[in-house]
Amino acid sequence: MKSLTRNNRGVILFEAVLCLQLIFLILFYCQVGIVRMWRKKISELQETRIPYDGDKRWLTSKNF
Amino acid sequence: MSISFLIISLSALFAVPLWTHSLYEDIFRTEKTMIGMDNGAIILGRGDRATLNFIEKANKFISGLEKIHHPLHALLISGVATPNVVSQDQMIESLIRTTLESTLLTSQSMWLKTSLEAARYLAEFTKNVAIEQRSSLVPVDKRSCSICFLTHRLEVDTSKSASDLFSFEGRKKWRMRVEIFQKNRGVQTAWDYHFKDFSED
Repeated sequence: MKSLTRNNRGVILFEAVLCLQLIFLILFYCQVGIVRMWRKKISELQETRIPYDGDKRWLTSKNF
Repeated sequence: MSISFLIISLSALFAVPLWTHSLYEDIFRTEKTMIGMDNGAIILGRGDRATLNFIEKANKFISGLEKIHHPLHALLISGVATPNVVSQDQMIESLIRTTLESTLLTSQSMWLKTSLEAARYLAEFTKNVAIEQRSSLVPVDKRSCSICFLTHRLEVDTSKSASDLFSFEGRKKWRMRVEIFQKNRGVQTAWDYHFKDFSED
């Protein structure tokens, strides 16, 4: 039996798997980058929150 | 499995970062609206509390003046008052009137400043938001004294002191009421605020 690397089909399959791995890697980094960016933006937004200094009983009431 | 089928099915994977991006965009917008509403309500509550506490202090000051005014007024009515007593009575009456008018004007400007500040803050955070049910005038009524018939007190009308904040984002609607109420701490009374949430899905 001929080795896979010695025929065309084997080379194409090898390159396809390599490309696939590269695509997965790029997608993974994109995903991680996007999530990190939004999480940072949301945490920055949370910092603009003004602390509530009204009636403390309200925080434990059913109206909340 | 043909290679073309593999490529087509994999192309859906490229949409994942885009989908994540739009999902986070929605979350961010919702969070921004909610924080904007909370902050706006807190600004309204703090401002109104300061205004009504200022009115309360002025009322206390005037009631102190009245304790001096009533005996002098009683002397004036009984007809045994000296010119000195008459002038003192007039002076205290004009002081009460001036204090009352200046309190009314100051509290009115404080009330409007709070409204504008909250509206500016809300506009910074989100577009789809409005302050409803808020009176443009400070919610007070003038009360006259039953002894000397002089306007001596600014009574807060609590039915008009609440403000509603309304916002919508997508299908979600938020409605929040800022209520000002009087707290009794022994003899002393002070105003404070709390929220009521009427949000609906």
